[in-house]
Amino acid sequence: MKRALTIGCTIVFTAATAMAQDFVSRYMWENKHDTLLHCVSVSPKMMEEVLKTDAKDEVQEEMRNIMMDLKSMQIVSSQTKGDFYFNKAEKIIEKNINRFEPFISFNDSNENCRIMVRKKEGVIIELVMFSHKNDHFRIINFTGCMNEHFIDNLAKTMIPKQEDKD
Amino acid sequence: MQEISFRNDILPLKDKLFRLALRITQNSAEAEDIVQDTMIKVWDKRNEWQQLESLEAYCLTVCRNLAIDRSQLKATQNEELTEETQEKPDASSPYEDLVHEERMQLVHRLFNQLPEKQRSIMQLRDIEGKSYKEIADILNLTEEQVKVNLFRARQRIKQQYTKIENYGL
Amino acid sequence: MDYKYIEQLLERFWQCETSLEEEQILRTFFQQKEIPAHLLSYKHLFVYEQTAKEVKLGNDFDAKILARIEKPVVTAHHVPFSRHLRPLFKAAAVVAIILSLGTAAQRSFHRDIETDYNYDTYKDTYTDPQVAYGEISEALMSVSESINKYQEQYANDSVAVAAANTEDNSQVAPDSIKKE
Repeated sequence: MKRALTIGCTIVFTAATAMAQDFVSRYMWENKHDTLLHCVSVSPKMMEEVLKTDAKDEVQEEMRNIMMDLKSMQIVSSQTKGDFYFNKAEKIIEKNINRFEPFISFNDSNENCRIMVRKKEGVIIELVMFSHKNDHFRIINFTGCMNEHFIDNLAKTMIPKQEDKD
Repeated sequence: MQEISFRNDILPLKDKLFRLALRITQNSAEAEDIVQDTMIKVWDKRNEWQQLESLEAYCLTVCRNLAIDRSQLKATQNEELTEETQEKPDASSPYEDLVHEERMQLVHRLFNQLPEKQRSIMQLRDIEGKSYKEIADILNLTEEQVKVNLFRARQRIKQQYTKIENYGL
Repeated sequence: MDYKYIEQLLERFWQCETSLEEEQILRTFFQQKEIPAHLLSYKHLFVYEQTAKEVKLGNDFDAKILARIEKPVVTAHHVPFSRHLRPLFKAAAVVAIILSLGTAAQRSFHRDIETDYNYDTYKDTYTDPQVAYGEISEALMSVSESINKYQEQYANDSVAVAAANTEDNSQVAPDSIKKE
């Protein structure tokens, strides 16, 4: 009985995954019994609602312009075992090497970070950033229609403050 | 498949193209040039007409891109205009026509001060009566993005308009 | 007269929830002479939209454009040498057409990029858009920070590489310029 159920579930899941999954959905599916991972989702519907709210100032206006290229967001995080989860994420990337291309990657003394993108006809339709810092792990996953301007604007408008570095 | 002809299928789009180009460049001589260039460009691609899903959408896309290229060339001025309208007092005139005329001018200004994307979307939706899908195709956006941009455009016009109207009266 | 319907339409118009037909109803409504005072302020927007549709090109446009399009294309029969090259031209034209078809196809598909993601599995964490907004901007900032960090590192590296290169090229370069 239990086995039949497992097989049934597997079939259902594979059917569901046959339709494209974004990175986080895949990650969460592979780690579905893991209670340390925390997942946050913003669906396309909610994204629309967010964009409908009023911008309070210039910064918010700018931010909204960037958000307009987004369709959804998912974030996975864990407060511990950062290294372990990071390696798991890299494994998924390795298995899907045709799907994602590396965009940015760096290893600091205290932080590992990768940004991978999935492109369709030159436009980024999915952006995945996963990082591991002080044993914390996090995946940020956006889907949408992000072109080069998106990346430029994103980099430009949010230049981090230098003061509290390290 | 239906034979596409320049005179019957493309030339009649001229006014629609002109209005979009005008909305973007805000200069009618320039807009006319853009429509000409658009049509020449589309004419040069006549071998590909049959493959296009929508000839009209294609023409509008070409037209918008040309218009944006041109306005970028001479850019800058438009960005800074936002404050100006708000200062202009709306002296209420006793003559209805004049008020009407003035208000129309005001709407025109507010409309043209929107960012290009919002302006073009509002033009295509509210003036040309295009569906979200068509606009998305023309501007290479998703339907959600079109909707969100339109929402922001309408809200902005509404807010600015009420604001000025309240001061004026 | 009851204006409830129009008021409702207006409200939905601002929310972008009206259909094209409903929007046309609004425009037609505001064309009338008698508009109740509380709706009067929106009249001009709709009237403007209606009149903006009347903007047209001058009458001479057709002649101008047709002259440009229907002008004779080639006048090359004085040069017999070109006749020898004609097959080459043909081949080149075929290549050009294929190339431009390729890019055109690419471009026309490009216009409706479908994301094939299955969003049904998404369970919204937030019900308040403001809270979601905060979370998204925070995430965007993290990504931005990483991009900047990377660019900074990359810039440093390339400066270092450039410095190393100068060292190679010029004999007088002091030893101190070295890749860190």
